[in-house]
Amino acid sequence: MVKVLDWLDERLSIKPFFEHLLFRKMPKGINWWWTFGSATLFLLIMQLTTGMFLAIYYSASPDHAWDSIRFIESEVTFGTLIRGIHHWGSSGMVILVLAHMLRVFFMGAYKYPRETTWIVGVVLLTLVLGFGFTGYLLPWDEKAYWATVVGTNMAEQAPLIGNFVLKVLRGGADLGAVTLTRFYAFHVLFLPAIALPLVSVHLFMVVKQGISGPAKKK
Amino acid sequence: MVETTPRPYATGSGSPGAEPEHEMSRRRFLSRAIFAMAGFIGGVIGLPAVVHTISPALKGEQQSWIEVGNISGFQAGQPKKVDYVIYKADGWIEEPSGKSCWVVKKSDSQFVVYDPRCTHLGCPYSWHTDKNQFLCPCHNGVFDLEGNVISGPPPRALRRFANRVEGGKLLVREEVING
Ligand code: HEM
Ligand code: FES
Repeated sequence: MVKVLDWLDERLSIKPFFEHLLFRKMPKGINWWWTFGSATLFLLIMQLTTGMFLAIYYSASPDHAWDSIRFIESEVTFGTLIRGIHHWGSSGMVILVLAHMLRVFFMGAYKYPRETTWIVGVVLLTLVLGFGFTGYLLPWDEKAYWATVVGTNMAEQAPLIGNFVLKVLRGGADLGAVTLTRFYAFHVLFLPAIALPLVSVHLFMVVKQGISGPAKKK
Repeated sequence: MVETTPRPYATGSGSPGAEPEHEMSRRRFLSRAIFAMAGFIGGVIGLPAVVHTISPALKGEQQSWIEVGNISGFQAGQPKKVDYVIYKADGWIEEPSGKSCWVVKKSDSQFVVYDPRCTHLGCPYSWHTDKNQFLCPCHNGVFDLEGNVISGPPPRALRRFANRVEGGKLLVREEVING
C-alpha cells in the first residue's frame, strides 16, 4: 500500500494535497456540534450508494413500480436492508442538514467570509428536500400518490404561474405515468448531478477558509 | 505566491505588449469564437431540452363529447349522478378511467352538468333530496341546485361542464364553462 502510494506520489506529488486536506488545523474549542456537516456528508454517500443498488431492481412505471418495491422487500436478499437504509437515511438527511444549518446559524458561522458557503448550503438544503419529495413518490402506493397530489397542488397556489408549475411537475394536468418517470429522473439523475458539484464546492470552501471556531468570550 | 507578469488569459486582451484592447487580436478572436460556439451548442441542445421537459404543460388537453344517457332518463329539477367510462391517455398508457358527473335537467333541451368534485378540496359531494341541497361530506360544504355555495368552506360555485342535446341523448364534455 505504502509502496503504491509512493509510486503514485513520485509521479503526481499528491501527498501535500492530501496532507493539507486531511490534517488541517482546527480551531480550539470545537466539539460535537461541528460534526453535523460531516454526518450529513456521510449519509449523503450512504444514500447515493444504497440508491444505486435499489435502482438495480426498481422499475419506474405505474404498472410495476409498487411490485418492484415489493419484490425488493420480499424476494431480494438483503433488499429490505438496502431499502431500509435508503428509507431512513432520507429522513436522517433532512434532520441532519437542518441541525447542521442551525448550528451554523446560531454560532454565526455564516458571517464574513463564509457567506458563499452559506448560500451554497441553502441551495443544498432545497436539493435535499427535493430528493425527499421526488423519492417519496417512487413506491407508487396510496400514500406516495396522494402525498404527491397534495404536494403538487401546493405549487398551484402560487399566483399566475401556479398552474403552469403544477403541470410541469406532473407532466400534465393529472398525476400519472409521466409524473413517475420524471420524478424518477429528477431523483436519480438531475438532483445528484446538481448536488454533487455543489457539495464539492461547499466542502472546497470549508477546507480553503478553514472552519470557524467558537465565538470568543468578551 | 508572487506574480510578476500579468496573466494574459485573465484579461483576454492578448499577451503583454500586444495590440491595444479594441483591436481584434488572434487570441481575442479565438476566445470569442470558442464562447460563441459553446453558447450555440448550449442553446441548440439546451432550449430543446427545456421544451422537451415542459412540453406536457404547454399542450392543451383535448376533451371529447361523451354520451351520458337518454334525456328521458332524467327528471326535471331532480339531480342525478351519471357514471361513465372514458379512455384516457396517461403518457403512453391508455386506460379506461371511471368518471362521473351530476346532471340537472331544466327542460328537454336544457341541462346543467356539474363537475362531481367539490370546489373546496375535490371531495365527491352528493344530492340530498330531503334537504334539496348538494352536501359535501368532507368539510360540510353545502351547494344549492344552481351550484351556488350555501355554506361551508368551498370558495366558489360548483364547476359546470359543457353539454348539449343531440338526437334525444345528452352529451357532456369535461370542459369547465363557468370560469
Ligand atoms: C448536502 C448537504 C450539506 C453537506 C454534505 C454539508 C457539509 C458540510 C461540512 C462537512 C462542513 C464542515 C463543518 C461542519 O460540519 O459543521 C460544512 C460547513 C458549513 N456549512 Fe454545510 N453541508 C450541507 C448543507 C448546508 C446547509 C443547508 C447550510 C446552510 C444553509 C450549510 C452551511 C454551511 C456553512 C456556512 C459552513 C461553514 C461553517 C464553518 O466554517 O464553521 N451547509 N458543511
Ligand atoms: S372538500 Fe368539499 S367541503 Fe372540503
